[in-house]
Amino acid sequence: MTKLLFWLLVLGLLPIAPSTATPLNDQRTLQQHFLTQFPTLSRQDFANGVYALDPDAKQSWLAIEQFPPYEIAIDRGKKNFFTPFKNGQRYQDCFVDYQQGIGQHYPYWDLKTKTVVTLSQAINRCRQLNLEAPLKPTAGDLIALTAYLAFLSRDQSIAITIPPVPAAQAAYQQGKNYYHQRRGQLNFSCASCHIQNAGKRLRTETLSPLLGQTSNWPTYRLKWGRVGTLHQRIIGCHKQIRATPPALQSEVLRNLEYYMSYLSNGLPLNGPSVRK
Amino acid sequence: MSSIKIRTKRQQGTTQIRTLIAHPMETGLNTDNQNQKTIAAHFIQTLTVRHNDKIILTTDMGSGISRNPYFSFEMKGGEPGDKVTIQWSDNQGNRDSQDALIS
Amino acid sequence: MMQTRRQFIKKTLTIGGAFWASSWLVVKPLWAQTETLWPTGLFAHSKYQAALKDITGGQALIASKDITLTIPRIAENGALIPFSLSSTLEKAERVFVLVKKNPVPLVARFTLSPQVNTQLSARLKMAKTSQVVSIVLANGQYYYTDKTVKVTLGGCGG
Repeated sequence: MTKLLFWLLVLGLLPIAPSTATPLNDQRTLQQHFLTQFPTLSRQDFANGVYALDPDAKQSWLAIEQFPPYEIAIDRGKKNFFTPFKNGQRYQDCFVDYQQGIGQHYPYWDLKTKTVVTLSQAINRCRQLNLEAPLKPTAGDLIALTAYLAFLSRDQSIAITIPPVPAAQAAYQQGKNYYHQRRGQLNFSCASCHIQNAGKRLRTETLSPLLGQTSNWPTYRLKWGRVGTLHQRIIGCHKQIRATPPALQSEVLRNLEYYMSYLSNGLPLNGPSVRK
Repeated sequence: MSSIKIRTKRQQGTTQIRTLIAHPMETGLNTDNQNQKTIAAHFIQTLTVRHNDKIILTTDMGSGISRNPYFSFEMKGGEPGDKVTIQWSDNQGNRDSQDALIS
Repeated sequence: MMQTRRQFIKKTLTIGGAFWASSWLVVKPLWAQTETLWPTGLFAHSKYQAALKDITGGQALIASKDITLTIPRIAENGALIPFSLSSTLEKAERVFVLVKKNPVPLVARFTLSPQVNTQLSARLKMAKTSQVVSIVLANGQYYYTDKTVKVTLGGCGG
């Protein structure tokens, strides 16, 4: 009996996570924080970002959603998706469940390559497996493919998983550290605006909360006049705080996306969308 | 692929005709960030709406209309099977046309 | 023949002339004029007043409550501002939309046939805070309504 108790005690003290701040704990704490701060909003509402907080902006957004400009990208993505590769294989041979929606699982931790994989990378992997050249992160064709897949994934609940292997946990942690670290000439961290000052105004901008920030990508930004990606937006944000931006689809940004997406688990996907 | 998407919706005695067009609508005032050259003006000048091949509305526009222009119009009447045609021409001599049937 | 040859020629010329002159009275309505030439002159104006004068020919604008212009008070982004315009004015032939402070104030000119209602939506660009003016030509008169739209710099420099 004492031997059993002894082993139970040992196992109980084994550090499965570095501290009590487990990813699940982070997620619950963050979601509770925002639900408390904005009591009129449901979890689903946060997927609409600033439009959940600013009624005038929401009207303008809804007017545009009547016939949104990202439909052009969806059409292009659909056409690309159903164009077979030179070897006769097709994208649906890689993304077998595409019709049910797959976006809710991205980004994911790849146990084999020991890295976070985004949807853009998965598309390029499919291409390379079929002897096609990968597309650059800024390529219109690649963004259009993610737009089409995002469209098919609408209403799926974000379901990011972090396997209980140290490397995956570390990737999440790196993303988290990056999010909370101050940088740039303006010396802001992502958290400075999107957690500590979410809902407040920065000049005439309303700062969107972290919760729900990853649900609507890729997005037609009015400023860009085209559909763009979350990584492109994050790079823009770096420039706005006068910080050196990391590269698109770099490990830094993939881990950051991993962290951000995981925290929004349970929220509905609503991409592609329109934002200012 | 056509640059023109059309949606029609029959309502109480009218038909709503909506269109979204892929077009840069460049003003000619912007500079390319990469090579510092001015991007040439490139915008739709005229858009026509036809109902069963008869012009019912003409829009003359400048580059003050947004990129990937959208228009919504309201036609009196309209029966299932009627043809709606949207046509545009731009300042660089390009044009496109698309038909849709009212459902 | 009762009349002289002179009288006959005079009569013929008068009647012929009347026929010739009357052909100018049968004016095609604006929407049926098949020359779809883009009005270069109207879009060449960089000043609102000049564009307005060219449109109305100097005729006064009449404020009208029968025109509804729906547009945001504050633009999300000056690149795309959605707007709707409707009017109950009868015999509306043309609708003009202008942004006073744009580099080219005239944004669009709609020419309507009797088969369409004055009910339009579109998306326009604004360079900076300005009045947006919608003019309806109905029954030979130019009616208008306007709204101010604010275009602002976002936080962190936009």
